[in-house]
Amino acid sequence: MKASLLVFALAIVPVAVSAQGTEPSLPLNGAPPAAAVCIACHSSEMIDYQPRLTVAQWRATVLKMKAAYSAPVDDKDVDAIANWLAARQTNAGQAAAGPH
Amino acid sequence: MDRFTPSRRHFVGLLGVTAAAAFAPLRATNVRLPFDNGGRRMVDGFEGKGSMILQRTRAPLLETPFEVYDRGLITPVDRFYVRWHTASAPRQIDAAAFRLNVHGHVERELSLTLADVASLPAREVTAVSQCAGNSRGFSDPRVPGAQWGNGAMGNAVWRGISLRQVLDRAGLKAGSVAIRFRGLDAAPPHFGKSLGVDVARNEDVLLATHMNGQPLPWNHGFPLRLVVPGWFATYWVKTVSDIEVLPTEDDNYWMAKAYRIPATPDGNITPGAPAGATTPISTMPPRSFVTNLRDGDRLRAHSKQVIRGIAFSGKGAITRVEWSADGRAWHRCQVDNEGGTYGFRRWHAQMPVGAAGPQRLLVRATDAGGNVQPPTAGWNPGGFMRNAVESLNLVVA
Repeated sequence: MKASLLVFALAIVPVAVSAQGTEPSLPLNGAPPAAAVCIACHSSEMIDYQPRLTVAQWRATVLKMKAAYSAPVDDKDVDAIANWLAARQTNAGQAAAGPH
Repeated sequence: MDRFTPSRRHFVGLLGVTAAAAFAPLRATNVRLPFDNGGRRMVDGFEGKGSMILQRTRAPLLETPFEVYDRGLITPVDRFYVRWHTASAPRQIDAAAFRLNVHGHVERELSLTLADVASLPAREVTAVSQCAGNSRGFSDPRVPGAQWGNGAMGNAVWRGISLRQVLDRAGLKAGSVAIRFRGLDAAPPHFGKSLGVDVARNEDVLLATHMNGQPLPWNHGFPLRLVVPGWFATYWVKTVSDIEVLPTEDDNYWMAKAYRIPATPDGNITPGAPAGATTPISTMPPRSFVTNLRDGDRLRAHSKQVIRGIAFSGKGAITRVEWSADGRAWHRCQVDNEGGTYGFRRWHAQMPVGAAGPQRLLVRATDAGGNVQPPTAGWNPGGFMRNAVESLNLVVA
């Protein structure tokens, strides 16, 4: 059940992009291969519009996507994805997080 | 199941994205929300909408540009914010095949057609729909989630039937505790929200079919949407197709894990402190906004400036709106009667403008429950329920 829903979610991605013609792409240069799953269920603005998050916050987010939303992420890939998401913000020069 | 005799014809066709809406070229401009990483695209024509701030393409998160709130009490459908959790709601719904099923701890299970629903006496309520995370982008420190400005709210005239009529026909068994609503957006975890029996039986809680006189568009929950006046919009379940009466509290993800706030008097904690006990978010505390001036606007020295805006609360009708230049001396504004208990209320005042220099403008609302907007914003890990006094920094020249 879970697997078939995810296949469906992945299958509709190209349709959504071509039908709306507005969905930005997520540059995956330097990304671990597993990071491609991040845009299976939502477009990349959800990532790019976040405030500056710590690696721990990104890790919690990836784990939430896995545990609550059934994102097919292997445990061994969680850290790599979280590190990459945090590094993107650093490279983009996003303002550092506050005291917490 | 109960038998209903349709008293009037209710024709609803297949709903879909028209070719024109799907393929029309979008006009996009860049806008900036006033917080870090606040750059967004403003698009015109996406999902059949007018100009909206595009927070996310899929599943759609569309924010109402703030100037819309100055134009009238009612937020037009094509400028009304949109929030979906997942992209799993079907874009085509066969109205003839659609059924609203009522089951669980009931005397009689029901399976209602849209004609059955349309045969029941209609009711209209004007009410504010506000996302629990409206204004999350202003959280300090920032928290993850949809980074809304102040535009994840809107005020509409909702028409439908009282949920109570459906519950009464099903007959709640003794010991019923909660009513759970689910829609057709079924990606895991299947979205579902619950109301206590007493809340659900308020006659103003609607199964809405219309919004501002139009059949609900897909993005707003065609063909049926729960409307819970006064409550945050997370409870306003779209494409409602399943109502389950529970003999216990609902332990599904969307009640037990998501949309929860600290169980403190104001729902807030000190940033970084242990989260402690939490409780599901519920009714909206009061808010008020100036709509005819924006931060940084210039005013003429030694003049009178008309100020106007909106106020609302989910905890009681708005009883007072005040403005201040310093946060200490507060001046009453005139509040219009139009708008009802649950909708936006418009207010206005004349503000004396002094000598050249900076001038602040603060506005705060009080409701019939005695709730007043706090002078400074609280904080919670979800970035929910922001309602602090808003302030503008103006320039007198």
